[in-house]
Amino acid sequence: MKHKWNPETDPIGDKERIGRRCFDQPELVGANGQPSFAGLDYRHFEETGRDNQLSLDRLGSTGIDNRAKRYLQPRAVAHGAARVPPKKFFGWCHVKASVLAKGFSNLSFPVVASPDQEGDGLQKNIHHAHVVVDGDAKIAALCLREIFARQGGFETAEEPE
Amino acid sequence: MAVATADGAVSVRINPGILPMLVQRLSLSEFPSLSELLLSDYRPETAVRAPDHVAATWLNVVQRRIQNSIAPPNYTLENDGRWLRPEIGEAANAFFRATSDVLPSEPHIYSSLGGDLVAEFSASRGTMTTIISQMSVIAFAVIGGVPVERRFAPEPGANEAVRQELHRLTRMLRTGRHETQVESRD
Repeated sequence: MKHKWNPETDPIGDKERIGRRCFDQPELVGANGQPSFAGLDYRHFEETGRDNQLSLDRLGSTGIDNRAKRYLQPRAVAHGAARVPPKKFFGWCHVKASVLAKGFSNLSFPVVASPDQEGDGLQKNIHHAHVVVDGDAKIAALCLREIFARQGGFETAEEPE
Repeated sequence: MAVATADGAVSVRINPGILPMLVQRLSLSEFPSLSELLLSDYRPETAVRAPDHVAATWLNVVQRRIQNSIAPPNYTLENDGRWLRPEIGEAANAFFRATSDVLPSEPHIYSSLGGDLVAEFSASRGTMTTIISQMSVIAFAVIGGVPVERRFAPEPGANEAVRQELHRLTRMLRTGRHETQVESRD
């Protein structure tokens, strides 16, 4: 019988799709009219916690799993709404776990499964994973952005019904 | 060709009908030879020099964007990413003033989550990101899939070295070739 993927118990697979949540980011107050930037925003990859871990979502064992997306999207929307000021969630940039492990510019980012089983409802996230950000956090964020930009894709959030 | 920019211009018209005629016509023979003329009353000719570099045409507008994004003095609300701290604005302005002409393009700027100024530049063969904090500037570019990273600390007298490095990066971004390859072809 084919094994049913369970992010709560299964280890990270090489072909697994790993996503980083992307939220609307503010423009500088005085920067109206500046040239647009078509790349990925650096801020999506800045690690802001105190534990040197960048949170990620496990999106599917080989591709984007619709059940995973249905599970994760309300959590991502609530995550953005809880920020000060609230930020709109618009999707995930995603890449294969093996690509993150291979890394870029002598920095590698092996993905660690870390299901968050505390709390209730939307506070719980069995699809949670992370990479450890060692050394210079700014260079790590730039390298992570490069990995997602060059070898990844983007999964747009579903519009609310 | 270098393009000069000026913050403003002024023109003066002298109406001989209003001002008394104080200028006396002099013939050329009354002037000393040109080589004996001084360019300045206070400096010898060798010390009178044009500006070392001409600022990029976008410098003024970018500086205005930075200035208009500096948080007001009494701003007490938690920064939501729309404002810059005054020291970051000052560091960014100093950096752009010193290097605008050797940067690849007009930058797209925003505040990082940590409060630094992020400037994104595009060129024909790649992009470059600089992260400007109070104590340092990081320049990160990827050329032909290979990353190039430079770090600069604001030190007195370091401007020329910083300019040379950025000029080299810009050249690589425009040619798509790393500096060793460019040098070997030359």
